[in-house]
Amino acid sequence: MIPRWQQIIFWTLLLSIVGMAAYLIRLRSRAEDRLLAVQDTAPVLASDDAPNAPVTLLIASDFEGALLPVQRFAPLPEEPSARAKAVLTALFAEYATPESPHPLAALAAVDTVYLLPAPAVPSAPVMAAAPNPAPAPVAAAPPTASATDASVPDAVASPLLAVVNLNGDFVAHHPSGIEVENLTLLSIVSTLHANLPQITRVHFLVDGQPKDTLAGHADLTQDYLTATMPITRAAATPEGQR
Amino acid sequence: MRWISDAKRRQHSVAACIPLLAAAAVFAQQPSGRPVVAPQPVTGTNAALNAIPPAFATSATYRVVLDPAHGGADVGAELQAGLDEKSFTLTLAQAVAAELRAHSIPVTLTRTTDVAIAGSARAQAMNLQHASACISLHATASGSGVHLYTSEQVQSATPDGQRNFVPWRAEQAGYIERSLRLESEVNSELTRAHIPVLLGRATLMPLESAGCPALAVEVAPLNDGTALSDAKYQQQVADALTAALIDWSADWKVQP
Repeated sequence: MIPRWQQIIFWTLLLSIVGMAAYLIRLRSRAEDRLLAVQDTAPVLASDDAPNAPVTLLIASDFEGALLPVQRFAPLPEEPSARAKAVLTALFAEYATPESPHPLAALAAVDTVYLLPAPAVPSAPVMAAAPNPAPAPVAAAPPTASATDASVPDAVASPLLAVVNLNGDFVAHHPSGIEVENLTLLSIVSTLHANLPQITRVHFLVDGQPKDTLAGHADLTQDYLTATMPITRAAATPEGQR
Repeated sequence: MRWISDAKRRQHSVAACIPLLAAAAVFAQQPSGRPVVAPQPVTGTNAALNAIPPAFATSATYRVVLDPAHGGADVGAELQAGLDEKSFTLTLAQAVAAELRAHSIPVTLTRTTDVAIAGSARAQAMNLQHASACISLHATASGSGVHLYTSEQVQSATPDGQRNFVPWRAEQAGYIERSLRLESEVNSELTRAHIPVLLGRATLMPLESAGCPALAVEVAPLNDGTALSDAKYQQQVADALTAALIDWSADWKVQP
């Protein structure tokens, strides 16, 4: 005969086990809901019916080795990630034209742009400004905020890291060379910073995966800092004027 | 209650100390934290690379390392029909090496045949040579003239011999100022040859890990329609690089 006190303990423990199991199942369900909620906030495509707004594009020129600013109008959604992608879509539309000074394949270049809080400590080594004090002949990103800044939500006012996921087909067709690859990357970074000044750092992926180089030369393993953009300097000065 | 006897405890203590002492002895033999070789196994299979002699005890000898980029399955850029970057860079490197050797300047090429070599292995070859100038040769069909690139790293404030535990990809930080001076010499000679030059900074292997004044030279066609296959243009570039490296042999010891 099992004593009554042992029966009470047994049933109490059994109830506790069932209760804890139910609680764990509930916790798991809530965690799953949270993860799904995060996925729901992933960037969406730029809406075609977004209002046209001025956009500053830093267009690369292969012959001058420089970035030249141009103003265009493009549909810019309110959501920052979608806005960043729309800006880059406008940029690569310029490169796909026959008269482009930096001709690239007419393929969808950017798959997605993710905006994340920028890490406080820079990862070393990072890109640094050229120490040469000579005046840079190229147009860097405009120092003042563009007209589109006002529409950027307060939620992205702090420094942001933009993770640009490039399309693999576009990368496979990108011309190979140190200058041409660097100009493409600097054009992307400068254009993003010109239109979304909160973007202080840019990282590149290709089809969602890390890649060593864009087309055999330009490094994709490091973050590109918009505040310390390296400057491509002008062609050599004539003999006697140096 | 005793869980372990005193004798066994002593044995275990001694056994635990042996690996620590061995590690300490290995670290004590390291003269500096300066990386010379890549921290990972090298995958390069070039016979020329294997034939590189051991490191010199001193870097007093002027020595040049030329690095023809790409090779093997990595053809680089397709410059024009029948000419790819890996072949162009190897031809140019061999031409410059021949001219330098004619001036009794020791030259090492990171590859002498059509083989693929990892960027780390190229940097390793440069560092093992304790080279006075390291030139990585590239070519492209985009742009015009010759593009000169140095690393984007910032000059390290600590002198070379006093830097310890330098990250593999930050080795060039100790040589940035000298790399810029080398770039200036190459720029001067190319300008003297009326070849347009574009100067820039970029993150490139093997420059990042090169423990020497290092420069990437990218040759592009000329605006007047001169193609990369033009033998006269190739010779002009080779002559200018040779002249710059001869000039550098007189300047490389001068501290910035």
